[in-house]
Amino acid sequence: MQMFINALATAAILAPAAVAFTLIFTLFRYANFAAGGFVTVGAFAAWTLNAPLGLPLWAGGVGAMGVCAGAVALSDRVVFRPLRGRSGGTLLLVSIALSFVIENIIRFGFGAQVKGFDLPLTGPLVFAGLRVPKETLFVIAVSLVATLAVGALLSFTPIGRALRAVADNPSLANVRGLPVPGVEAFGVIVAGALFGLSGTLVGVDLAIDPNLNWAIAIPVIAAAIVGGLGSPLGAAIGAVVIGLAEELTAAHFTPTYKGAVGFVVIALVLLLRPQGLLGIKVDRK
Amino acid sequence: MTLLRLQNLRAGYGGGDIVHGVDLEVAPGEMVALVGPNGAGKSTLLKSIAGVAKVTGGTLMLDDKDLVPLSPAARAQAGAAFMPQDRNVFRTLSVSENLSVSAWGCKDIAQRREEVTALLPTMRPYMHKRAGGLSGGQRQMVALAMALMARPRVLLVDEPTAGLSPLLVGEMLDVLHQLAAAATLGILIVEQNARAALERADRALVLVDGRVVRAGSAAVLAQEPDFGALFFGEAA
Repeated sequence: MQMFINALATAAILAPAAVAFTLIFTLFRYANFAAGGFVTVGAFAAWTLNAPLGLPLWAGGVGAMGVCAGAVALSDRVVFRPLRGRSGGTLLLVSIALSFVIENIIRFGFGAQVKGFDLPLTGPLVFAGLRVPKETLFVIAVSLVATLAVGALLSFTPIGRALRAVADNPSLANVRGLPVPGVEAFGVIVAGALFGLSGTLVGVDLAIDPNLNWAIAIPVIAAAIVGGLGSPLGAAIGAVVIGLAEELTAAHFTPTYKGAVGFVVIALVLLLRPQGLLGIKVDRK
Repeated sequence: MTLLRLQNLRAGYGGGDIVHGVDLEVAPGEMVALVGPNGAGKSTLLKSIAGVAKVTGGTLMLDDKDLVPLSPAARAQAGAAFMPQDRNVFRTLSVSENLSVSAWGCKDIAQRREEVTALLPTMRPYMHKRAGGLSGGQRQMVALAMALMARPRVLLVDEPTAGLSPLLVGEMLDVLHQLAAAATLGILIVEQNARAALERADRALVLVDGRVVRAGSAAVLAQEPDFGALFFGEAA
């Protein structure tokens, strides 16, 4: 049971970023490997607002979502938009390069020290023999609300439907009168805010590490692939699968191998069910 | 009164013109068929009105509004609704969502969806199905409904019967004919089943190599003895 709660905490951190990753993939058909870099930006933005500037954590988190939305929008405008129409492989390589640039900017600006939020010390909640830190419950609750909110946005609002329509067929959306560039920009901002939220949650549950980039990018991408690229709900479920796999690995082997879990799961999914859990099977032409 | 007016319109995809100086008018309540052999530029002409192909010269007016400088989305908002031949529904959205999203900017989306469903009632049983799982005929009907959602002034229909069974060909063309007759909507249709289209259209233009070679009443054109042989290679 304790392991399941730990898995949920990991899933809660990964889920918003995995949803953001799949959102960008469905809109623009490329895998943005700078996901880990953006989560790191979110973590450090929240820390800056919380620790040095003294704002409450919720305000730091909201600010981090705004900063990350701006960072992702800027990267889209400066880096990815000029390359629209290039192959997914080209854009993937560009995103890897971008992630290194982000990582080094953060190291340059914040140094190599691990940081922590300025939070009051609280004891864990104990029930039925389980010790659950309040921070973990906070992370799970916030992530769940955010993921459900994004699901509701995509399913029940006009802008959410427009986002799915543009992701499905941008040229048809154009002739149906949808403002495609505006809808795409909205999608980019939502994805950025979700990366920022993941960054804040990482800082609450773990630590704010300048080397976070690839440590978080691989499980985030694995969660999106497990769920089925293009399915936000699948990405959230994929995050739970990755969380469980990481905890099982730590419990039965050694925590050292946790980092390899994402790679193994990606390989298994691609071998056994390439479309992921909720993805739609597409015939290759 | 003219709804859509093209004068000396030239258009293509950037590698030279495919449509060479076409004059065409569509009035409210009128169905005009564009027929001709493969590669004549019929679809390119429709796409140039919708903004998908590039207009390189001439005049393109809808209700006295110049469409040429407008983006495809702005042309749709101005009242020119294009129904593409294929990939014409959002496959991952339900039929109901396809209709809603096609009325972008409308305030009364639910009411409009009800009006369009009343016009095309065969859609009712599959309103909540994913559009990607529909049959060819159902999908074409949904694509037509989507084009109607934004209350267009003119409907640009590209091969609406492509891939449909002979029974559904007549049904689809009848629906289009009734839409034009019942409303102030103008319809410009490109159709491979030329004879079936001419039976329902009010007027027709024959396009060969991007030029109008014959125009007039659809019924009269359909009766011309050399019509099939000249333009479709049919045995006399």
